[in-house]
Amino acid sequence: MPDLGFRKNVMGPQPIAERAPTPPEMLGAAKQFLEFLAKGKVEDVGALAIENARDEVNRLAEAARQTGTYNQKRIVALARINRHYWIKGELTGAGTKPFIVQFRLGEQDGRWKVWETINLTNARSAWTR
Amino acid sequence: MQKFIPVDRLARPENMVVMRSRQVRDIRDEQNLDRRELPFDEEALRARLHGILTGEIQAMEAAGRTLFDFPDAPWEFQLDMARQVWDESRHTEIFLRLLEYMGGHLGDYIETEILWRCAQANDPAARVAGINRGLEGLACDVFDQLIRIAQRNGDDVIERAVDYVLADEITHVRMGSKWMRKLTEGDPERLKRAQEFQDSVDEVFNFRGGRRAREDITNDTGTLLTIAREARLLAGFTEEEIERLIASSRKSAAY
Repeated sequence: MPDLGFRKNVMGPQPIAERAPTPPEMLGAAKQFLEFLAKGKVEDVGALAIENARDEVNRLAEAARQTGTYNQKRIVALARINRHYWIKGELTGAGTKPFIVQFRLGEQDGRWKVWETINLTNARSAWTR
Repeated sequence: MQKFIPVDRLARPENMVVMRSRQVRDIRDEQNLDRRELPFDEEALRARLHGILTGEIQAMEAAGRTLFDFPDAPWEFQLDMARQVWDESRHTEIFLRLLEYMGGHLGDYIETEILWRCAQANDPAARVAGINRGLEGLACDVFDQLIRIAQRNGDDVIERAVDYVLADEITHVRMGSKWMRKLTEGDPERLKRAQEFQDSVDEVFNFRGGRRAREDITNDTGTLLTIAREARLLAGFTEEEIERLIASSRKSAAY
């Protein structure tokens, strides 16, 4: 096996650009959404969604409520497509299987709303059957 | 270990979001933004570099999988694929650094699965036609454009780094051409199927008119991807093959 060196010592070009800031209002909306999901507040979760996504979001909230109760939440991933953000969140609780959800946030009329959701709890990816 | 794995079996850190490219396109459309933003913008460049980075990761995985999926292929074929895995892993590091140079990090944007989907062929001749000639040919076009963007921005870090990567891609296309022909010697039907597979990959990456011959662009604002004739000739594409690709890009633009 060739000696590949200690790669962390290798210098790359120094950054010339700033990291694009993540809108704090968007992060706030994401945390609130996860909080409502964790507490099983189906109606509150639905209120955070755009009209077209409301049914889907309600179904997700119902699924989370039936899976268990959660007291911890964390944002696992945050990836953007132009001005919309996909967030992967995980809810955990004692003796309960973790609930993993992926949801898209975008601004509508000055407020960050949920545009779509994917329940990743028993899946490896958004399209795993 | 399972052969011919679907995209959702690829290992990814949990902070990555992988989606269908069609869905990503729909989400861009939904935002009423111009899908082809000027590539000179800092954010657009960051997103582009992230897209290339995830493409390099998938290219590394694809070459490794080709090695694993076809254990009965000639030893020299396997050696070429192993070399390619090593090249793609270096490219991954290079683009990781370039992304950080532009203020971005792995996972900041969506990864799409389209490159992996284009690698799904169960014949090694078709596999290298699709990956090494179709996708690595696309890489020649993308890198040629990225070098021009860097030159326009006066950024010689990106310009030189991408130029080094482009030199490797040219050898990968050459490998693809060599093995597509060698593996199908005396079997014109198999060669035809391999070429058809490559054509289907090329068609996907004509981006509905987003990739064109340089002579077909009247006002080059840098938003369209041009077919890198010179790099493709260096990579062993024949004039006839390049003309076929141009014809296919014109057909896509007409839709």
